Amino acid sequence: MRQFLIKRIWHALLTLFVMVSVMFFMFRMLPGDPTATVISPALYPKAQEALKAQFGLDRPLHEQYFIYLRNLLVFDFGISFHTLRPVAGEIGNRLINTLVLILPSMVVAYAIGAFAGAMVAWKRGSKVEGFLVLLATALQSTPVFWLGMLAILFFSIRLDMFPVGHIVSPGKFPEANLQMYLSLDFLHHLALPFMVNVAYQFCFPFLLMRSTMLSTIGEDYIELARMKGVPENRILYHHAMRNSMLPLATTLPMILGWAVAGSVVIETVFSWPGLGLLMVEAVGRSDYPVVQAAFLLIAVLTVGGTLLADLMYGILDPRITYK
Amino acid sequence: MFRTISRFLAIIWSSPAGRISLSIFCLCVAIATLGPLVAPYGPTERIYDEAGKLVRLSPPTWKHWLGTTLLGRDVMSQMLWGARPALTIGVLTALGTVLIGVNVGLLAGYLGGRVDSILMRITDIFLGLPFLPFIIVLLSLTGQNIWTIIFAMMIVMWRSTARIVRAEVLSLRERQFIAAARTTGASDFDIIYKEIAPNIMPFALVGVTFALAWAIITEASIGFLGFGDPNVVSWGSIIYDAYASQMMYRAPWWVVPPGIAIMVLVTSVYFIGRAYEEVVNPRIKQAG
Amino acid sequence: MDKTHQFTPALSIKDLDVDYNAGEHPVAALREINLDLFKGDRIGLVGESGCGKSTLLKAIMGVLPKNARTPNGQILLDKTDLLTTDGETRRKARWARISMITQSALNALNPVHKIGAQIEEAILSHKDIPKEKARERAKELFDLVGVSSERLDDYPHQFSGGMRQRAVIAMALALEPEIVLADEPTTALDVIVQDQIFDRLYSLQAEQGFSIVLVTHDLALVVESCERIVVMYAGMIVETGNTKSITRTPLHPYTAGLRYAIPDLTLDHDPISIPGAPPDLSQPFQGCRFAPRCPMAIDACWQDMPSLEPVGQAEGERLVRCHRANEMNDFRDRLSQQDFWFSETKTNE
Ligand SMILES: Nc1ncnc2c1ncn2[C@@H]1O[C@H](COP(=O)(O)OP(=O)(O)O)[C@@H](O)[C@H]1O
Ligand code: SF4
Ligand SMILES: [Mg+2]
Repeated sequence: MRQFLIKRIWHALLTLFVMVSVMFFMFRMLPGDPTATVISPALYPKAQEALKAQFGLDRPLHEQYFIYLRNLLVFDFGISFHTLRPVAGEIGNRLINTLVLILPSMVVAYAIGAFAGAMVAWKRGSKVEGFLVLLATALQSTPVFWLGMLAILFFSIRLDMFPVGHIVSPGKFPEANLQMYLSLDFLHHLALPFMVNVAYQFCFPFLLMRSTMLSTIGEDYIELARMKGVPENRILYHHAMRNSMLPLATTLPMILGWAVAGSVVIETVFSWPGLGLLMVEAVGRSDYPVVQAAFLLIAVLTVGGTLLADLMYGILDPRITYK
Repeated sequence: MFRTISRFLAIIWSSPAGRISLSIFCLCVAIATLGPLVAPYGPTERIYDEAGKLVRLSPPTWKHWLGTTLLGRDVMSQMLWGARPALTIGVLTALGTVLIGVNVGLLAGYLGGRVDSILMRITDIFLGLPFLPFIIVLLSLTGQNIWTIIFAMMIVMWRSTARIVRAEVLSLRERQFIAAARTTGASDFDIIYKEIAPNIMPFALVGVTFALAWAIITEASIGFLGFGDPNVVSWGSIIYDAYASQMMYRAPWWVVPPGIAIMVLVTSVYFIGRAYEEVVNPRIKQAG
Repeated sequence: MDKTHQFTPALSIKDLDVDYNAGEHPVAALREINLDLFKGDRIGLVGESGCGKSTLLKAIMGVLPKNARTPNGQILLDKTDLLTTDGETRRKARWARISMITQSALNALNPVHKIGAQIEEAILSHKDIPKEKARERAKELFDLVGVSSERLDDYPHQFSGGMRQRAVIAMALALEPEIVLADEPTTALDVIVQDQIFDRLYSLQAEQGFSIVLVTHDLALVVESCERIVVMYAGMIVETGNTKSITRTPLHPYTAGLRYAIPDLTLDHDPISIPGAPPDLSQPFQGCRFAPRCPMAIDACWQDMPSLEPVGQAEGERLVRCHRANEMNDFRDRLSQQDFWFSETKTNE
């Protein structure tokens, strides 16, 4: 178990390191003045020079690379072209905003999807099964931003039930703080993007759980449990569903990664001030330090999610322990 | 190759869901090919009425079945024009993706050892890469046109095919006929591409369908985020235009059709992939 | 042996038919099965694979797959018909009175639960006792089958094949059943382990007095240990009788084929093998199911299906399903020669 853990963490760190490096060189290899991606060309030439010295941009590339890495370790992401303030200060709240939207909706989507998938497989061949499979596939095939737009069109504009976007009403909470996240106003804003994300993310666990269950149900140990006289409900939960969760757990990293990466789209539709929206906006403004920082944080979440799911798999499947 | 594909079609045609899906897919291909020929207007043509006034945001009428946009463009015509880029980009990306994925999988699985662990480490890194954000960053650096979009999607999508193919090659490698080929002194290249690769074809085809589904949606998402090719009207970019105009909530006829078109097309692709996968490989689960 | 027959049978199967719905024609997996099982019996149920042995056991346990039908027959446990009784009665009877040692111990144990917990589960599903009591019982059972009770908290993958099989036996005995069904319990194990396990099982039977139905494709295995043998072919019983008389004087050509397939020092020639394979049970058929492979087949065999009838008087009760059972004394020698199995009548096919 210990070794497994260390190996996984090491892999995660390596993955992040490679991504950071690729990002660094990708931005430096842009045509034109390489420093243009670090220091805003809109600044006065004097100020530019000063900053260049400060960031070591007058040094050779490999030295810049080490400076960059060192800065990252202390969460120094440089200065935003747009606000001219350190990126680090602006990005923390964005990170939290993304997490409060994505994580709970993923948990709910997984719970609903896995449960529904297990149930329709258990009662194989029902009408509900056919309908849900079609629905899930259709939802999976729907661009999530379009789903979001329809939801806004219907629930916000037509029914006037939810706000059309943003995280709280304008001017209500000048500072993002705990009080804000606990307010009704926040939950009211959260509801619609939350539901849309659940609807979208539920498809995968549903379809996967259904097909795994269908093969689990034919396993000998299910038959044996039945012969043992174990009550049907216990067979369903304790044996069939419990065992069918394993493949779901192995794919969880992928899904968590997709969900975080997908925040780009869902945050854009709902003007949700998270990392994804920040990144899209920053790219639009050529605010490269912010782009890099947002991308890296998203990558950290993706890789961290992968790691977490790996560890969870180790707990769920006793056979994995001594690997 | 030809036989695999005709078997592919036969398998799909044998299930009702497959038959419906294949028909829908063919219909979309027909629209992509013929659409521009039958479209009453150009995709960016602005339409004026008799009085010379721009026909803005007209709801569906006999003249404009799906209404018009804020800039006075005919949505129906845009839909007919927009199928082609959606499908071309999707198909090219899917083919490219699978081409890379299959080769990486073949080499890693067959050569094993050092090559395998390096290639798999790279695959793992790509698996950790946030999909859309990476594409966006890449596009913001390379500029946006059809080719850079295809390239960007390919770079991140080959990873799943590579894994599946590798797993299959690992089990094939131990089989009789491969060992036989090896003892007769066939070169690695011959074994990989003449003996193993044909057996991988079904997996490659499954990969192509799922990659196609993904690519179509991703292309739309890229368009929606404003990183599409500005000179091309595709189903995704129609939704983006509606969104960017801030008028979409007053003009459902503008946003609803392209979304439905994407949904129906991608759903049919998924069902085609699954119908085939169920027969050729009951083991691998639908993994996107 | 005959003394047991004075008692009413512990389990009685009457005229049982089982079909599977699959493809165009239903699979006639079992036909006209009649079988009585008495307390303390040890019956060997033999036949090549695909003869319907597992189907019969599943029918008794009430776990036939969803596509199975039982158009005819009864499975009587005391006077209750297990096929028609309500689900709860059946659930209670399972395991408490009839239990089963399954074919593959590896697949029969749930890989994600501890073995001890799986044994306790069997107990707790039937008895309203505290968990600790069930635990005690599980320990006892592990002692009985010869596995250290410290290993109750292991997972199935941590056990060797032999230990897994012992664990499955322990599970089968958990509720002190009257009848234990064993479906090819040792096919996956090597001969030495196989012997150890049977020794253990039989000595437990001697102590506790349950009856055993041992199912196998290997006649040699039951010849050593079972009192009675039931031979199945293509979903039907083709011969029954006590072990001695069956091995000495097989009365059905199929039984003879299985018998002479066993290496035997008293015979001066090599073991034979029956050419061909069991028939596809979804194909409608007239006459004797064995005719296509039988070197003794005559025209009547292709026309009429023989019925299961008593034959001979000498060595206990014998039931045989063959038109030419009375002529067997003339054929037995030839049936022990491989050549005869390839001989003339085969051209009838
Ligand atoms: N679920 C099923 N559906 C259809 N046919 C089946 C099913 N299970 C078994 N059969 C068929 O029924 C026959 C008897 O099978 P089985 O009882 O497993 O035989 P045995 O245990 O003697 O090998 C075989 O021909 C087999 O193919
Ligand atoms: S009835 Fe005829 S075919 Fe069948 S076993 Fe007897 S002799 Fe052979
Ligand atoms: Mg069997």
